[in-house]
Amino acid sequence: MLKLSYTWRIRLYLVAGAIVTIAFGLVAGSLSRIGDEGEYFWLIFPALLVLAMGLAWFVYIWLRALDDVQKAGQVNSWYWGGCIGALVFILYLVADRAQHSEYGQGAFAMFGAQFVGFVVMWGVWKLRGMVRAE
Amino acid sequence: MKNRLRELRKGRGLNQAQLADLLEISRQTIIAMEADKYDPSLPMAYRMAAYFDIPVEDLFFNPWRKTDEKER
Repeated sequence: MLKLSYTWRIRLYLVAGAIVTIAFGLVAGSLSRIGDEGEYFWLIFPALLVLAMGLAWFVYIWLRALDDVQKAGQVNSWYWGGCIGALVFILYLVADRAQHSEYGQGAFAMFGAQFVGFVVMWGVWKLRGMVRAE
Repeated sequence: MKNRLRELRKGRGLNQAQLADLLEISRQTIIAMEADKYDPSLPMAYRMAAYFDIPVEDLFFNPWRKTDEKER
């Protein structure tokens, strides 16, 4: 069987990642247009969740394939870049007094959802690390 | 973490890309470690030491051991 070098494996993952992400976007976009607004929410939402889990699984496999330095670069960039980017935008909304607009409420809801996600992940991490002390 | 990666790599007549391929990691990782800009995980440190067939502490100096401190 053909054994690919690390560099080529990661390049393949990148190409596959682009294809998977575009496919996800197309399918999710098509699903979101079915019926009137909110009509099939309880069908579309679980379907999107399943699709997103598939995408998350792919990201997990890709992250595992990366070596230490590349992984640290990705995780640090997503964490610090993502949090600081979101924070700057929230501050902008506050300064612009737009926090009560629909736009602002959506942004605050997204920030809240990120926090909930963090708490869940932290809880899982904490539970997994719990062992009997000796 | 100070290390002997560059010296050992050159001792085997390899460039950074060749060593990266042999260890199945990126060239950027080799560059970062040789420049002491990144500390590897324990599994990676062991993998590298196994490749050079030496103990981990002969590759990555232990800054908390006084003997290693003197050797540098």
